[in-house]
Amino acid sequence: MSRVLLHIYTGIFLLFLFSPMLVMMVASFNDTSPPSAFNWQGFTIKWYSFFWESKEALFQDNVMKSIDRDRFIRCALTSLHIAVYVVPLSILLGLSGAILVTRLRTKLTSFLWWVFLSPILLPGVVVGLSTLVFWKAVGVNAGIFTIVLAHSSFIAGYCMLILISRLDKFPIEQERAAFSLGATPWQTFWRVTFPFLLPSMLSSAVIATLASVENYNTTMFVKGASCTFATEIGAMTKNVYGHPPVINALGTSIVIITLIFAILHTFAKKSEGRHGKASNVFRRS
Amino acid sequence: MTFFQSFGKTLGATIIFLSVCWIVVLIAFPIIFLVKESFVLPKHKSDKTIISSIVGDAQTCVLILNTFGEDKPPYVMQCERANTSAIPPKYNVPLMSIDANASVEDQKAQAQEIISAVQSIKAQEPRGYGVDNYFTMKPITLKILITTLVSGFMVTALSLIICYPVAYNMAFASNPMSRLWLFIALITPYSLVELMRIYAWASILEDYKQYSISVFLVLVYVYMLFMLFPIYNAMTSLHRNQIRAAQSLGASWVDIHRKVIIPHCKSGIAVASIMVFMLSASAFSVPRMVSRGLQGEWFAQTIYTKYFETSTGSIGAAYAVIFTSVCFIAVIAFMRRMKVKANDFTGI
Repeated sequence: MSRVLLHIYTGIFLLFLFSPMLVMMVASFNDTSPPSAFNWQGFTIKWYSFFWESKEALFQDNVMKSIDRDRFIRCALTSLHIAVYVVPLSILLGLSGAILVTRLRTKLTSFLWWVFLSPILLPGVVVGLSTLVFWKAVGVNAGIFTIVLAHSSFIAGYCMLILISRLDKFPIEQERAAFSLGATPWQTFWRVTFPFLLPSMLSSAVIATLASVENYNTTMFVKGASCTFATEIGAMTKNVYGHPPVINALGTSIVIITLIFAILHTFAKKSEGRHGKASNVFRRS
Repeated sequence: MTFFQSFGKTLGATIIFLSVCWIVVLIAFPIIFLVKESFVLPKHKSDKTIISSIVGDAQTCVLILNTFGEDKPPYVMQCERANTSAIPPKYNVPLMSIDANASVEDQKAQAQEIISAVQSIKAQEPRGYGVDNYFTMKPITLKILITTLVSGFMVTALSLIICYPVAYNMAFASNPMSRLWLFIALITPYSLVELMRIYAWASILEDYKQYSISVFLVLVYVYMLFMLFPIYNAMTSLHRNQIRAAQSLGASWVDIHRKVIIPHCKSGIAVASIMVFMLSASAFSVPRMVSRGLQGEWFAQTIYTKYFETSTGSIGAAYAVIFTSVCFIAVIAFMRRMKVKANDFTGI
């Protein structure tokens, strides 16, 4: 009986999880602004065509002519530009932190773990504020550089967590085997450890990109005069009438793309599982 | 094999160097500079500026009076401003001012007296550092701080109650296939930008935005993954046989949770609660967007507005230090109460 209750509860929980997404998706097809899923005015895809329509056509619509599409696209590209710097930096730092924590077993290690994770625990405003104050004192004004550094300080922590969980599962015998076969430490790292970590690095790259593009609290402090995707959305929502459903259209597209990727990834993993995990590890050599 | 044996001198040194860079440049120095900034007193008008502005006003007063010759002068603003009332008492300058009812000659003489008296003062520069910033907190700001902390605690408790059964379901009560689909179902909403999810909730909760429960609910939603996964990880490390043993010994399901599962997962629950507490107490965008101003402000918004009050943000820095310290103390107290040490978390 309790098992049935548990499953019903999980069902309600999933409903709780998905309802805002569903509301957002439904509202993206609704011909009303501010967006609403309940006040149905008519089916339309004009919120999607916003992104490729010509300027004259946009001007005809009352709502869409007030949106600065060029600025929005410019800010979104700035976000991607920032992510290009943040992702490699975070993975590099996260990797070195992960290796240090898993391999250096001293009394200091636990303290080090907490220090590495502190930017995640600290309030986002404090991370942004401290980065701004430090670089202003050094002479660098707020801008893309400070955004990249502020993001990297805590995103490297996320990467480190993912890499630690993967590194813990690393069969240490492979390293010793490589040494006994005459490999130098660098060769061992590059040909044995690194390929093993590659899937985790890929997933941490995805998470780093998402975390960097969507960050709002910290970015609000360190952005100076520049703008990112998240701050643009935040600015749009300060509008008394709410943001136009263009954002909903964007969100729906992102959800569908992510869903496709997740399903593809699951099927890829399943087919890999059929050939057996062990054969994949040794396939490289 | 030791660290340097595994990686060699160059690679090992590079790894250590990168980690040190991370700690120093991205974590330690910003915090140190933030704390240092919180002790910088905001620049009030320095004494030098006051002196030069009085002298300037007196000189302009004389110039203007010169254009009137012997006629009775009308109201001249600079003549009224040229007095020594703004000079701090420590310089021992008597109170002098220009009498608007006196004749033009008298007024000019008074202005000259003021100029010569004021110019002879050796101005002292204001004290640069002090703890004054920390005591500028008005009662209402203190109330916001306490309310934010209590709200963070309530969000954590709510999140724990909501997510615990789901974590239990994922860990023990389902088969691998449905667990996989549950994973996908949990991750997909998080592909959305956080602000979009908040906005979606804001439009659903349109009619309830004046109740604090709506902000709590949205915070629980936004930080759900941080609560779910540490508890789930801790639960999966518990062998199912222990539960079966407890059941065969006749324990009710309340006892199983209370005496078998929860003590085993204590560190997972603790780390999840700490993360959700820190994240929700420092919530910035959520209260603003969901309540649209109908509810009280949260403390992170206060720090934001206070930061731009002074040119170097020292008051905001002081508030940030206060807030972080209070949260830190709350977390340490929580860990002591749960009898969890910091070492237990490594490796989750």
